[in-house]
Amino acid sequence: MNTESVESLPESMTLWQDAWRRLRRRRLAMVCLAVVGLYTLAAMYGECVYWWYRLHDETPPYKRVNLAEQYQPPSFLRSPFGGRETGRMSSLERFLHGLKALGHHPLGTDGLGRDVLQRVIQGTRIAYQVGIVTSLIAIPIGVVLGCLAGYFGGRVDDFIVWLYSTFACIPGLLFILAIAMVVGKGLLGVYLGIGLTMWVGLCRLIRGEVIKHKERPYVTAARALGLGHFRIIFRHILPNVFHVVIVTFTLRFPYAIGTEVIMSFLGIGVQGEPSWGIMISNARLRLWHGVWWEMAAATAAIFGIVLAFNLLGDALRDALDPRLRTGR
Amino acid sequence: MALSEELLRVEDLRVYFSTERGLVRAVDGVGFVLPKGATYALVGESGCGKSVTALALARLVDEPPGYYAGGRVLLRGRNVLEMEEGELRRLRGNEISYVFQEPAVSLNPVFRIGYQLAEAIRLHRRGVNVREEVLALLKMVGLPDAESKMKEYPHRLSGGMQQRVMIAMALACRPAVLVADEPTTALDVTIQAQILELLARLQRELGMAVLLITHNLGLVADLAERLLVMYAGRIVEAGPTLDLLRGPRHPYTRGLLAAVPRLRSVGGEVRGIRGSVPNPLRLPEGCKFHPRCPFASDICRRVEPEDEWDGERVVRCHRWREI
Amino acid sequence: MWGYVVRRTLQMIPTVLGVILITFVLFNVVGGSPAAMTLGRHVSPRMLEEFDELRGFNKPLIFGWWTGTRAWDAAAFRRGGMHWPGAAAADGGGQRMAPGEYELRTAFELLPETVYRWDISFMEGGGAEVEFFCRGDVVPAGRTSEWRRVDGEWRRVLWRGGRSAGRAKVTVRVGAEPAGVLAGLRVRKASVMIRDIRLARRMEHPWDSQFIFYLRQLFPLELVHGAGGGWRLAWKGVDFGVSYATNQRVSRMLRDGIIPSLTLTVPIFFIGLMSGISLALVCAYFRDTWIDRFFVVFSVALMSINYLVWIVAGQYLLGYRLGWFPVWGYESWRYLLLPVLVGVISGLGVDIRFYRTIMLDEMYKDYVRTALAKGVGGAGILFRHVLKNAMIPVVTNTVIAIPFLYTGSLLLESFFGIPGLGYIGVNAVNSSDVDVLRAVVFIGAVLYVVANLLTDICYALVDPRVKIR
Ligand SMILES: Nc1ncnc2c1ncn2[C@@H]1O[C@H](COP(=O)(O)OP(=O)(O)OP(=O)(O)O)[C@@H](O)[C@H]1O
Ligand SMILES: [Mg+2]
Repeated sequence: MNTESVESLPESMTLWQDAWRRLRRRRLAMVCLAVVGLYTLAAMYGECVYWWYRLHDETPPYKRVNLAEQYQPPSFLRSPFGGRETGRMSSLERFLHGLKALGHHPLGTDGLGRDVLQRVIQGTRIAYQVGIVTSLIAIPIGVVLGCLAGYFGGRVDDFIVWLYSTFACIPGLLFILAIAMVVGKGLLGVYLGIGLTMWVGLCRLIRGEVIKHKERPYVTAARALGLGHFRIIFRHILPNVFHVVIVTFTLRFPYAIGTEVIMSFLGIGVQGEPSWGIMISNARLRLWHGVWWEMAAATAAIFGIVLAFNLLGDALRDALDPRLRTGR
Repeated sequence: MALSEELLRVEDLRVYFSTERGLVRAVDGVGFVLPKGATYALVGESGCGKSVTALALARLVDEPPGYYAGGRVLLRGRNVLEMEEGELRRLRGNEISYVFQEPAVSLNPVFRIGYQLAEAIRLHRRGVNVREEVLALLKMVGLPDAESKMKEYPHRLSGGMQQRVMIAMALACRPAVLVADEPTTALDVTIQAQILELLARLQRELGMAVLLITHNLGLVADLAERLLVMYAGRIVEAGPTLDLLRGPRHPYTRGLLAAVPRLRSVGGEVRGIRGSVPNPLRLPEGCKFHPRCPFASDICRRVEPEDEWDGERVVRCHRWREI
Repeated sequence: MWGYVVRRTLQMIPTVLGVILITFVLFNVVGGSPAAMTLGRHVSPRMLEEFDELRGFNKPLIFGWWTGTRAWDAAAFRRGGMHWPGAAAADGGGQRMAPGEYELRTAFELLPETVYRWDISFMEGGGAEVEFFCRGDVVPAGRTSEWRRVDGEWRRVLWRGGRSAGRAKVTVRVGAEPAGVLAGLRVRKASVMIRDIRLARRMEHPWDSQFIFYLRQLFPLELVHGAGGGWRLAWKGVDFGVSYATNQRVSRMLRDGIIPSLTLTVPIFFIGLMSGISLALVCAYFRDTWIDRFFVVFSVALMSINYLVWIVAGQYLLGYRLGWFPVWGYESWRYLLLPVLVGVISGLGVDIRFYRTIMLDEMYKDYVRTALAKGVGGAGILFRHVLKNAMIPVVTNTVIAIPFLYTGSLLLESFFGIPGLGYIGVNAVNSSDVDVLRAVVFIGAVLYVVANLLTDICYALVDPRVKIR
């Protein structure tokens, strides 16, 4: 029953500004944005660490085996401010010592004495890589095919619809696993597997939107001016349907991350790097011996980012596309 | 008419909506009295709160976002707005019932016509032969071939027939008040006349009170005995139909009447009202009509006018005597 | 109605063809023969060839007369690893061959009654002369005028060295006794640089290709030569080839996998559906209260927990710690409890959200207001009017979800040791078992297409507004 539509906004405000205004009013969305920002920082830090050790040709700490420090619980459980060796210290010394202890393996170590926090951060880096690269594969395919199908219609449309409905038929995870198997184990398989299946939904949405926009007066006007088809599609129509891309990206990012975790867990994903899936896979057996923190850290890391992206995606959809609003 | 029995009394009704963009005072201080067996017409521009007023009579406004901010709706002396859920359910469809604007979406698409009518009967009436009653109702509203139509789904009927079904459903329990919210807007012009005629006939036969909501002033002249003109959530003028049509007092009513193209006055210019319907979120100070009123003066901008009674007529305007 | 069903069934054909095409491109064109990957490096070329023969990988892709054979390792010179007595080590991308006689010894004997082609490319040659010879039950094919028959062998001069590089092809037909066939090169006058030597086999028919092989496997009918002389169509069933890992027919493995899969997914499906719809109804009934809001947040949280975590946590907490359920195996119904529970819970978030959206969409439709105005109560509105309308999207989306159970069970089955289709699929991925994986993918896709068809039929049955003509 919301009679207000995008068109009736005050002219000074673009769709994006309006969306941002609406988004900012939602506390939850802002919290999610902050969480996503934190993860992004962690991923960038992870990237720096990775390259630093790679360029210096050293074993990075997240891979360094140190059997002396095997299975250390998180630092806050090791009573950092108490303990035997602190007995004769002054309170300030004890405090400083405690702080230092707190910073030493804050999330504990795994079975080979590797720092869990560092590994979680590396997992974030890999998750971001997967999310970004798969999007870079899927978004161009989806956008281009969707635009072409929607704009030209006819045979082109038939073909593209046939193509994506065929892709859509093939069970997702299995298809991804098959692609990864054919391409070979490793990150490339993950990228291609997820990327080549993820464009379908986007293509369908974009096609629908473009069909709607094709009849709008601004397109007719552009055509009357004699602009070329591709200019009309990519300069005039695409900016108006771009919010679909943003929303899809936000909702697909966590999906890509989750799939990578499953693939790595199954052993056909990331090889030799601490991805979250590998961490869970390793930690699964140690869980039986009561080593829960590695499992907990990886699980919590996945849960946090996926939840933040899901909530953010919902909020973005509400803010950017009033017609798609679900509940109130 | 002054002697006739009072059936429905609305006093200072206020219905607000709290929306994402702010508070919408859709109905803000509406009051009128509907006597037994009378036909009243409620007119006004789109968005002025007619439908909300109508829905509020049986407490049907969506809560939330809407809420009743004040006033009373007394049906035979009982306040509808304070009734319990069960009492309210016995009231709806039984003593007060509705015909909505778009029959195509107002009928439930997945139930057969017969079932939907029967439901209305079963809810309120015991010990009747439901099937016969349904057939009788369909015949009463002039639906040909009632037997087979009963078994149809709504989408198989034309708009006019759907609206007849809606009317039959509304009349299933012989209500005391029938609220028809723009019953003909979605229909063809020829069908419109038929439906209105049907409503008029049924009103005479069954003796119920009718509140007819419409955009179309031309239609109401023959049907309604009293006219309520609504603007921005308020009734700005009310009076016997003919008096009001002949001598409108509120500038808004004048504008409305001037905007009706009349066959008689060939060559007479059709004038509208300046400006457009005010944004319900940002209503002006003082008289809500003053920005569009050609006679607005200082007082209009500052003070909201009160009801002024003059015989059977009421008007809410500071300056109606002068202009 | 029947006309509609038939029409919709016909519309499935392009999609099924598309699926065939995609699986073909994926596994045959991009993937290629997985023989080396599955059998390992140290296996004889003959075994590789047999592996390919069984799966049609030794044919041209779509159309063509010539195909490779593993009897001769074509890339050997480039890699420089080939052992060829009498020749100098490879350098500069070729093999230097001093004057002398070199046998082109194949890894296993060639096929009888088959045409082969040697394709030899030379780098710049100096003054060398190279002659091709072959003996045994073999005759020249193609242009025979250049051949000479000397000492019981066929000879042909291939190459008289020059400044520039070049290539030469010789075609021979192997007779009924391939055992004694031997081919070779004689280099005279000076040494010569050879870039590579390839061996190709000629197909009987250019359409005898991997693609047609695949199509014929999938197509359940076959044209056979009847006893009376005419041709007729006979039923042979769909064939998915032979699994490498288990050496069983794939169709048989899949048939055995169906029952365990169904015992797992059917309960998940129905319990999930019921709980999803009931909770969505609760949300719709209590909309705009804290109960509804709680479920909205709850369902997003459920959605955000990875499938793996459910499995691992379920196995650890409920199976190991509390000991309520057995963790691994497929022996009695008790083994199914935990996977079913995990399956239901992991899908619950999405379900609640989806059904809630549907219910709420319906709650704000105009007919609800009409029903309210008639005096129908809250429960009547929800369970009679709204639910029946909501059943339309619910039914359609439910049917479409059926094939996804198939994938959903993939992880469950492999981690709870239930020998169903998903278990088979994951094992196939791990052991690069192409035939099995291709069959599982293909069946999943076909299931989806069929489910789509059923959805449309259900839609026509449930929604009186759908016109079928
Ligand atoms: N559910 C709702 N939520 C928010 N605002 C509402 C809702 N229903 C009505 N309104 C607001 O109340 C005001 C009056 O609406 P109403 O439907 O009564 O107008 P109307 O006079 O019936 O118009 P029309 O002639 O177009 O039917 C409008 O400004 C509308 O925006
Ligand atoms: Mg209205």
